[in-house]
Amino acid sequence: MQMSTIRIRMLVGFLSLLVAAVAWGDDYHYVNMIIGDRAAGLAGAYTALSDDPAGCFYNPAGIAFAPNLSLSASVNAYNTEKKTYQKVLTGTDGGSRDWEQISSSLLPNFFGVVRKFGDAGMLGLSYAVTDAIQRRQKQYFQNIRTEFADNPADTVMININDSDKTYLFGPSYAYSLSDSLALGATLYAYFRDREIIRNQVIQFNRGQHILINYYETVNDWGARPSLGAIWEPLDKLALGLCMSQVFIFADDTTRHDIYRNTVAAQPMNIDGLAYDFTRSDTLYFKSANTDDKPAMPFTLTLGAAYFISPELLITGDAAWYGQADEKDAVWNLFLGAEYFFRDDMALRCGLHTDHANTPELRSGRTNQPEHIDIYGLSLSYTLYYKMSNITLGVLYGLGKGEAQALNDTAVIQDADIQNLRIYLSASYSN
Amino acid sequence: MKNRCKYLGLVLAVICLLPAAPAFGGEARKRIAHIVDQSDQLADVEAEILFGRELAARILGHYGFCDDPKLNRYVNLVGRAVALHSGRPELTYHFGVLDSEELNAFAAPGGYVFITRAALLKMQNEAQLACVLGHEIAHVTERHVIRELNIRGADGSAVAGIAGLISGATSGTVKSLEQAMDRAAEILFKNGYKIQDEIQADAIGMLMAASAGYDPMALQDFLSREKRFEKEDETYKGDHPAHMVRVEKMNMVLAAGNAIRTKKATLAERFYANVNH
Repeated sequence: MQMSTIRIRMLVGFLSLLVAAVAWGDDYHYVNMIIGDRAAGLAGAYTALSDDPAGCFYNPAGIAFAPNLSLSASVNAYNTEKKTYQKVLTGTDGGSRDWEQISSSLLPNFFGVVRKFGDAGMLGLSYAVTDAIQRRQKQYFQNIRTEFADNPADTVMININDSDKTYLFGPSYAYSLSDSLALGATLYAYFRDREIIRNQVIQFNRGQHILINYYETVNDWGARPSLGAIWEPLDKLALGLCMSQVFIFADDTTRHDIYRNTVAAQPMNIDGLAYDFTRSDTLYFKSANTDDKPAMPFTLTLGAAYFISPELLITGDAAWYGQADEKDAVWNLFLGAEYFFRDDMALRCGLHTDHANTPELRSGRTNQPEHIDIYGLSLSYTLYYKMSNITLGVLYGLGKGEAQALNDTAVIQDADIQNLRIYLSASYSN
Repeated sequence: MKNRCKYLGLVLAVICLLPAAPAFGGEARKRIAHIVDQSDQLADVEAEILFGRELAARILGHYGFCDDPKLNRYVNLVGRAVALHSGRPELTYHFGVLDSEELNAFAAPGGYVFITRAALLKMQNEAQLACVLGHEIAHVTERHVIRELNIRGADGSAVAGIAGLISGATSGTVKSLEQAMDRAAEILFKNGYKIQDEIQADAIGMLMAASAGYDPMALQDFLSREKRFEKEDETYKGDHPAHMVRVEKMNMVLAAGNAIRTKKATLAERFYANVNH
């Protein structure tokens, strides 16, 4: 996807306090939400398993191996994330100030049903939310240094409110070619709903001010077909493969910029027009509509699961995401283990990577996208009873990297991300 | 794009070759929670009986009951003698004769067993009747329909309640009794049981009949006659395909035990005294 930019950023490059263009949602990573209950407990290492409704998402071939005639599952999750850009601003006292962006959401992020269809077929229908961010930054700083040594900012107020959700919904079908081989396909409808609200006010010591208001809405419609296979070459070994790609068919983007800058002593040239902000009635306003269709990466996932005993299994996936627009190709690894310490109780744990799809930052350059690699772990507990089971799980991710949080400066900040997801899920079998 | 097509072609070629590989049936994939029965047995048996009663009503509605008290009493006596060896004392077995010219017998879950009047008329002795009833009883004891349709009692557990709250669903939303009944009727009237279920019912039915003192070979005799009638009788709608396979498996069962070497009762005279040919 094309990295979104706040248009006004390019117009006022001389002032280094302005917020740099950051990714909305989390365009810099591909593992933003681990779907499913059992799958989430295994940290997403599910391509060779996929034998429940979550298989519709991970590898549709897997639902052919579902142990019941029909299964339904739903997952409700609370997600929270804190991203910190360290030492972004410098106070007049010489001390540094961090930026903190916090995101939280509570929503049902998966529902799926699979049901036997014919002698060797399995039909599925599922809904998944693969990205859900409600990010806020509401920080207020005083006495901040600017590039005007004799004119520091008395007040810097940053107000960010980003909402970005991606939904998938659609049918799946799996067919068993033999007892040990199945093929499957899912055709998801894709919908992304994004709203960006950013306000920034800088009040200078000499009475000038900069005001920025940016508002953007984006709706993308598309499809995400996926094709998968699962093969059990040995008694206790399953291998899985799944290919998928999101294709965007339609985009509707609206952007509103409002800008006023009384620091500039001379009229500013914006879009070929001179704006004299020394006049109290001058305001820059622009509204634009575009229909840029972002490119999404081709994804190939290979997985293996080893069923050590009816109580214990280990599983692993390697996922490759191809290059798309400005995004680099990237690998991610997922490892999981499941252990039934009683007939009706299971513990699952896992580890995964969530590498940034951006290049590492290089010194001397400006406006580079952040590069933060995240490493996550998962733990879940499932209680089975007759036709149902419930799962309580937690996913934790920690990432460290670098960013350029400020516009048009070559300064690179250390940045870190911590995310936590707590989910409660229920599953019915019949 | 060209490279991607090449990789896709390679993947598809590998997938096409995979069916030739040995099959393991996904057994190792089953987790202990799927292997060990987590069910509430009392509620499940109640559900099985209720489901079977409804299905029995459908069978009776479809074929009609043979209004011959003497004949029904006789079939009940033979059936209950065999059912004593069924190993499921929690069930009460009911036997009935259907007023039909079709050559067939049916079992509904929970212990409801029917045989058509035409099938009775084709039999030669009581041992054949006992073996056929034993075969149908085995479908009940082994829960073939129940397992196929996964019929279980209502899940009133706290876990199920919490699960319902989380998902906004209840067990009723995922299981329709009407749908299950339609599928059960399809198994009985149209598609038949799986061949492995038939073979299992043959083996268990023969052993039950033998345990009750009847000649287990009688089932094979009757099946051979049934096969012959099938060719002659256009009304035949039997649900027992692959006779040769079944006969072969029966021979293996009989050879494995000593039943084949022990002379048991056939009781032809008593049979003819009760079944008016």
